[in-house]
Amino acid sequence: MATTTMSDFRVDPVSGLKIHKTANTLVKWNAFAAVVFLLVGGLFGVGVALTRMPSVQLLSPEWFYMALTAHGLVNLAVWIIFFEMAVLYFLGAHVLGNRLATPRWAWAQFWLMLVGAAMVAVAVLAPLWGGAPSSVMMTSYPPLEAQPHFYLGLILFAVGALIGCFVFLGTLVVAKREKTYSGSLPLVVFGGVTATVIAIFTIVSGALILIPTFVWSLHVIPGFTIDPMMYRVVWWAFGHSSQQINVVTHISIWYLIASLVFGAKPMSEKVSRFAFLLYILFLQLGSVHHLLSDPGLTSAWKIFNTSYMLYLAVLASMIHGLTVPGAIEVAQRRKGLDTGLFTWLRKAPWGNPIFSGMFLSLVGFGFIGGVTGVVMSVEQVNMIIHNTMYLPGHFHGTLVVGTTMAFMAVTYWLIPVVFQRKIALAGVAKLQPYVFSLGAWVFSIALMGAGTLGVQRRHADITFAGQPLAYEYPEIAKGLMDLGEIFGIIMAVGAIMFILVVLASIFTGERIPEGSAPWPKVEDADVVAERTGKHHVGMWGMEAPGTFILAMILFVTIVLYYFINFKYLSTIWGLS
Amino acid sequence: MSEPTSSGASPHFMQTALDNQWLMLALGVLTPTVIYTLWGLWDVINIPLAP
Repeated sequence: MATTTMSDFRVDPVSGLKIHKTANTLVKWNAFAAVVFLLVGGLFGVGVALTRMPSVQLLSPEWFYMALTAHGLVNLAVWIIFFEMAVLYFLGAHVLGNRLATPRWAWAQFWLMLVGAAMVAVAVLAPLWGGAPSSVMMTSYPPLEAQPHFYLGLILFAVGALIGCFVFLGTLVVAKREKTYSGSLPLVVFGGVTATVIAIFTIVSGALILIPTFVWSLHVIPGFTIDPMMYRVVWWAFGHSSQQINVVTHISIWYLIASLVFGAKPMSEKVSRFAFLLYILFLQLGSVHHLLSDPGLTSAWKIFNTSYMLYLAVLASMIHGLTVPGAIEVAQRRKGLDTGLFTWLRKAPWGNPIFSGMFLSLVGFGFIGGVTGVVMSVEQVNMIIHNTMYLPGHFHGTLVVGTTMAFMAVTYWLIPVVFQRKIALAGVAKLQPYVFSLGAWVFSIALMGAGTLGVQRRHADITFAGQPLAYEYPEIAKGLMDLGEIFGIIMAVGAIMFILVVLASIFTGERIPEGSAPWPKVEDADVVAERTGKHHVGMWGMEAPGTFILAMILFVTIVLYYFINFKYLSTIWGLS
Repeated sequence: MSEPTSSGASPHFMQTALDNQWLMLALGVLTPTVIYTLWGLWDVINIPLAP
């Protein structure tokens, strides 16, 4: 058993947390690597955006597919999973006032992920120095074939992440044994457990398919091939579930920020935990919505996985979407903002990027990524938009509008706590969530509009100019593509603002010395209610009537969106 | 296992279950493995070969 002394810890003046210094170093390196990869992937994303604009078409097809492969892998996997490792170590060690289990294995996680990402980068960027391409895009469907070190890099990256998951679970065992907490795990850490469970399923699925694909790419076993349909089934257990890890992590961050900024507690912790359990059981089944148009797979399998079981995960998302703003509303009302329906929201700290980023993430994820994700999981509706630009529009609505914005928001809090620096360029930080969200929201919506009009994804030139099967899309589709990509550039500006603030804060921000006076704390809403005697808040017999109205608007939006899509389906696929 | 509550009563079985991360891991891996992966692969295996 490792021995730790008090000198291995420091008490953070900003958060009041007991910080294990070794764990903190790992949180720093994982978070820093994440931000660097966000920058790298974002630059490729700009190349993709400027090529997809019909009026610009910046890159040649060869460079476009290389940039698209790099952008997808770096921004969908590398940036996000490095950041998640930082979040898991933060939750397991810092939030529980605990030491990190097996720091050496945690370093193995970091280096394996870094070496794996570097190998994939070398494989993908090889055409830049005359090497053989691996422009197979993120999905790398056989019979498209990449260089062997492309698959090996992905495997090393995944093994690193798997080690990180078990270091987190081991850290929870240490916390339990050393009694750094009592009773149940805090809700936000339970969210971390949920993300870890999904991550382990995801990574094992990835290994199951990428290891044989790596062997296939070596050409050492004569006649050994990969069945494309089997590949697609197993790969999507990895490819889509990896995005579900992000959803769980960013929802945990919403709960954390509600508590940090407002002293809010979940409206019902039992219900929130049950919602996380629904995620553990059913969220991974969303993978099937990539296969709804695949022949051979039965409708029973498709519908059971989406309509029957995925909806239980959707229920969980709606619970989180209700309880997080609901908790904020109750806290605000208990602190005196108990008039009208939305005073609590109007008077929220919109100039604080931790809150504004989190709330934009919550609303955007619900209305853009969430609603569209639910509707496109209906087998019939899926036929309208399958393999169109709707898909990139949808997943930018979840991963950029939701996850990335939430990660950025919590970073503004993590920098003082983890890096012991005050936020530099505070004015830029204040604006950043708005610029980034404006770009990401319009980008997602415009691409989904173009996809609904049939614009294909995965193609450098949406007009197929000069090709035997050239197709002329309506002008509005091209206009939507141009509009979307212009806002894609605005999104990139928002991302650069974030990276500037992070780097300026880490390297030039005012240092917060160890042992400095504690920062003022946000008062717990329950404590305020106790002091003021304001136990009954809200109106119409509801504690959070404003949130109820917002939830009803979301519900009506989903219902209307269903009807609009079925109506549209009936116009393009007549039954008589 | 969950500790007794402050009143000395045993915690609810759901709380005990949710506090057990290894049980959560088993459920979270087994459920999608059976419902999604194995069933999906079974569908693919059973596609009849073209004559």
